[in-house]
Amino acid sequence: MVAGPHVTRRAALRALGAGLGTTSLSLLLSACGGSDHGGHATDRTISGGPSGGGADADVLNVALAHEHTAIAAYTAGAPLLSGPALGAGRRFLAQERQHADRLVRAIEAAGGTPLPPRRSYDFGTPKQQRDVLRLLETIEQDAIAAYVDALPRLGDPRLRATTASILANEAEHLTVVRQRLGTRAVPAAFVTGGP
Amino acid sequence: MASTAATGATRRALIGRAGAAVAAIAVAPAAALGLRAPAALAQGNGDVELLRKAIALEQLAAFSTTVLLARGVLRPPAQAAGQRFRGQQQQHLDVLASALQAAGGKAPAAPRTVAEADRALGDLGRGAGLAGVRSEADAIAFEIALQEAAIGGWYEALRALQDRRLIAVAAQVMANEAQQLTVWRSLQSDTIAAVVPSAFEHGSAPAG
Repeated sequence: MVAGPHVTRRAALRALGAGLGTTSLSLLLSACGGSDHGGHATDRTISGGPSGGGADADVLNVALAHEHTAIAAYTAGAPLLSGPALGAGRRFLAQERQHADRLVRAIEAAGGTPLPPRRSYDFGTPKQQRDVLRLLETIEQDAIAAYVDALPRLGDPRLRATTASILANEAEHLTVVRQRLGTRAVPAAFVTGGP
Repeated sequence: MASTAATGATRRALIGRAGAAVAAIAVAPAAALGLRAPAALAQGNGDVELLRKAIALEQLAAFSTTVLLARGVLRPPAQAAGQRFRGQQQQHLDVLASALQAAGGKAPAAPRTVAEADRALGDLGRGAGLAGVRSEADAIAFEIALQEAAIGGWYEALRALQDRRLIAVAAQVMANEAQQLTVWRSLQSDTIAAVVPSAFEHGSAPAG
């Protein structure tokens, strides 16, 4: 509780790296967030965020909450992944962290206060790689839906471009996750975050 | 899964809003859209010109994919991907053309021959063109370059578009182009660093 979110996440990563079994997974899944600000990423409305900055900061904070969720999910799910799925998971985790870093800087530049990660995330108790991939598919879909919703609300054109480049990357993640699941990788001409 | 399940309704709401942006443009008959489009869709000539450029690029992609599919150089996995993506390109074209028509704009002429397409590709800096595609590897590299150009175009357009519904549609199309790009890259390489090389996908456009 005393440790900040990054320390907590590092502790979780160390534990994950030690190869703990699936019986420990649900606990670890709920240990890789940070301070608890309540509510899931998508529960937060644009006007209800904690940002003291302008409208763009509020919009970006919704996206940041999804990035925190994705970071927690990729971190916690890694021990159940292997082979190419593990390679992809590690790479996507690093990319989600880059997204979060960029969003934090943008929110601060817009005069807002970036949302911290939550203290815990309840992802259930996945038992095998396929369960984790299904979870990641949902997480990526949620993020995509949030970015598609956010883009028309952003007033700063440069932020729109940056956000669009993150959206496109999340869509790429979703495609690879679906390839690993063996489902149709690109099912729709218009990507909304739906199934 | 409690937390994930709890987001379902919210996600459905978001997806519903996103889908509405496409439906508003695609489902309504062009004439009906045209009655209210000037105010709703075309906020200045900027959006119309951006739409024309997007359509020109999508027409080029659709024509090129059609030619490559007919050339017989693709093995079944790539051929199947190309066929699916050709259908999605047509869906993009239909929606974008409806939006352009509603905004009072006129679609550019689509390429009708390989020579015409190669001239347009030359303008994009794609020197080899369709005529130079002789193998599956050539075709996949060609599609990757074309997708990167399309994504770069949308990345630039999203800075300038004014109409919110167009911005939503542009974002959805750009994301689809990124997914197509990922499939083409995965047909070219098994290395994840080559398939999803960057956390910020802006195609061939410069970052920033």
